[in-house]
Amino acid sequence: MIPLEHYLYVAGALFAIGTLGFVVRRNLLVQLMSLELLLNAVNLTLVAFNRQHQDDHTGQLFAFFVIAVAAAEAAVGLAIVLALYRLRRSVRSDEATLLKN
Amino acid sequence: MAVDLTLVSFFALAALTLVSGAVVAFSRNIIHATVALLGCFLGIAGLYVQLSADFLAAVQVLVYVGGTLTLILFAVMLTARIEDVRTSNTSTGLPVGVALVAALLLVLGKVATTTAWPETPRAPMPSTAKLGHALLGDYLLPFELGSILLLAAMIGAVVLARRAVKRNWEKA
Amino acid sequence: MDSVSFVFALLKIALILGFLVTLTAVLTWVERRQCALIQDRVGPNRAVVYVPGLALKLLAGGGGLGLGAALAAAGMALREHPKAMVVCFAAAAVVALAGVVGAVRVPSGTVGIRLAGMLHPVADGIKFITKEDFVPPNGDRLLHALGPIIALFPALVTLAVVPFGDTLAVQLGAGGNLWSRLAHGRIGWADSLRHYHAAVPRFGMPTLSPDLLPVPLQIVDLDVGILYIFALAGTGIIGAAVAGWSSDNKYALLGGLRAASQMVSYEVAMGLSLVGAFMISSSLRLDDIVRWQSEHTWGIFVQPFAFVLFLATAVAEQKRTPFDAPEGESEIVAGYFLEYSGMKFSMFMMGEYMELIVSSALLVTIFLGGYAIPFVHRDGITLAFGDRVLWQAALPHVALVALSVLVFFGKLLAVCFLQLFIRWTVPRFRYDQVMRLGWRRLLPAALVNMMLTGAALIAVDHASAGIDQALRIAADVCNAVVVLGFAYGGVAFVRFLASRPKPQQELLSTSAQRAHAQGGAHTSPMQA
Repeated sequence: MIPLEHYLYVAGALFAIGTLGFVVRRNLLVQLMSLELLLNAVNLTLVAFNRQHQDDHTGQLFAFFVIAVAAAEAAVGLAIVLALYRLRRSVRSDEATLLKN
Repeated sequence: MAVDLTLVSFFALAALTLVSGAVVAFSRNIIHATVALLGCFLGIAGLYVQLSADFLAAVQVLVYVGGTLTLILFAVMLTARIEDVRTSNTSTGLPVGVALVAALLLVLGKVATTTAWPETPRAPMPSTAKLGHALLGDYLLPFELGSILLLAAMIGAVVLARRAVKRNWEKA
Repeated sequence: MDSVSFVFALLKIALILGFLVTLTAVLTWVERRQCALIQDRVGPNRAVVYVPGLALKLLAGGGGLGLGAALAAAGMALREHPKAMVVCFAAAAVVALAGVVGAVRVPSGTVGIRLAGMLHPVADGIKFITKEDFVPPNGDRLLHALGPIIALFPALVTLAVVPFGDTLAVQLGAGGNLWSRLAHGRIGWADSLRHYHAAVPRFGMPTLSPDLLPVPLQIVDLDVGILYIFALAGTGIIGAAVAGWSSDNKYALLGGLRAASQMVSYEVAMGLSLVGAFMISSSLRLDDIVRWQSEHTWGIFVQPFAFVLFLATAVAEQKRTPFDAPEGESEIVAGYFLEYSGMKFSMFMMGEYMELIVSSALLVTIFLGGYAIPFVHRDGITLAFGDRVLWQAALPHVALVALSVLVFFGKLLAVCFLQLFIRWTVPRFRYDQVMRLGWRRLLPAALVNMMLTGAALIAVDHASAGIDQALRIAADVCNAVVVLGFAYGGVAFVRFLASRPKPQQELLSTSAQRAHAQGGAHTSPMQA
């Protein structure tokens, strides 16, 4: 049986990669994908912690709801990206400056 | 002789997840990033299987790969002008980001290494029936709220992504 | 996992993969034959191997005589069993005679062997391997190679959860490792029925007993069952989209986008159309679904709408006519695999046919009873309506299992043929029609079917004992209908084969009628 810490290391590293991608990249689509990485890292910890409980699947249920919310988030987020692309001909988050001035 | 196959497969899956995750976050080519996301999702699903969360692994592949990833792929193909994907994908603020992530990793690593985690993982068991009972029992309200959220998101996405151009018969 | 289970797992994988690849090749041939029949062409007849007639004569004569001699020797060895001896000698005589007649009738000189076009898949394979593997200069080399792999992968692995036969009980002798036990004949089939029932009861899940090992004829026995198939089928979408994008071709990109959107749309309706079947058998596992059907009746009788919905969505998922807008030749040349050649192209084609086989296997498993035969259970034949047993006969275990495997593959072949016929029957939908059908017709229909099934299940749960009994009898009547239908179909098929085709000449044009009146015209030899 693989110890819990191993999964936490993987999840932590994935979370770090996702954060870096989200903070550093300026393409909205890549930022959305990095967001998915973050959610996946969190889900992995939830499922890993759930394994330590003998007869309780709350962690997996949380991960299930996170997946559902992530699907909703992706749909709306991508619709916003498409709307921005129509307005600005670009998907860079730097150029979403309509509310400035 | 005793090569622990579970450990080997764990490291393979972890490597798949992290490497493709890194490609997602740092690749210059946005289509490569999208396809790498597939590897990342599959790696996570494999890790779920190892954690005896088989139902969740199936849902992960079903929703993320079949739904979310396809949506992202569509958005990429519709927005990124196909000829110049390589230039449309720059990054800024690298030092600040690295510092932030270093701090984050420090905290996470500290927590992961110093906490005394419980040592008794449960035996592998099928989870589908249990999750089904929980979803239609104790967690019925969140389940229904989730469906309302998805409906709202669907309508919102349709409204947002619809072309603003009115067709002839709509103008009349 | 102990060594016996491991050996069986390898055998099962080899069987299923071999079957899949062989059937893929056969289906390509069948499709070309059907297409030729319907369009009144000769069809595949160009792949030919020329063999000197003398060699064929020697082969037929020598082979027939040799086989006959071997059979006669076997008959001599079986002197204690007079019946077996007679059968062996008769077979020897027939085989030897056939060999000699064959040798005489083979023409001398060079003979072209065509095998009704069966050599075409082989020729295609050689062509695909030796052809140039072209990658568009501005395309993405990596993704261009990755596309067919992602498209083929799900089709190869999804058959793993489909049960292709009843559970086999293997008798394990005690002591020693696998090979020494095999060498001493201590491993065999569970022969006595009583012994076997302890391990695998007539209904329900098999249990483990110390000396009997139940081997489910299913490569992996997953708790998520069919979700595994749906999950992996979803990855194929990415393959088509990536292939379309990486080809650096606008037609290919359009085809990829069309394929992805069509598969995503129909996957939703496909999944929902099966929910009713899951509710009835209250399991996602395919072996549970087959077991339910073996205890009651075929799924098509309890979920008729779902059968139609699933068939339609399955054809759409494979992107075959009438849903082949992603590769419509008249609009976008060849769609997402336009820029593919050689083995990569053949991977797409193989993936398409394998998906057809997988969806046929699902149709058989969920709606047509899987490996189950009406009135045949693990202890033999029980012809019964409700509690009234009309006739009973016990059958040996190995025979039953072998029969179940044969029945599964037979049903699979029949459904594959049916799906191939759809292609030559219905014209292509327009793209907006595909989308409208998927989202506005099939999806709501699947939802309604789900709700009706749920209501019916609640009603049955609260029904009185009399209604329960009536339902059981109705289920057995459905089984009887299946049996009678198959008997009639078999007779009709044999009569069709035995009947001579009547040559019909339809003289449609006036010039043809005039030529006919004047004694007929010479027709030119038909070309492919």
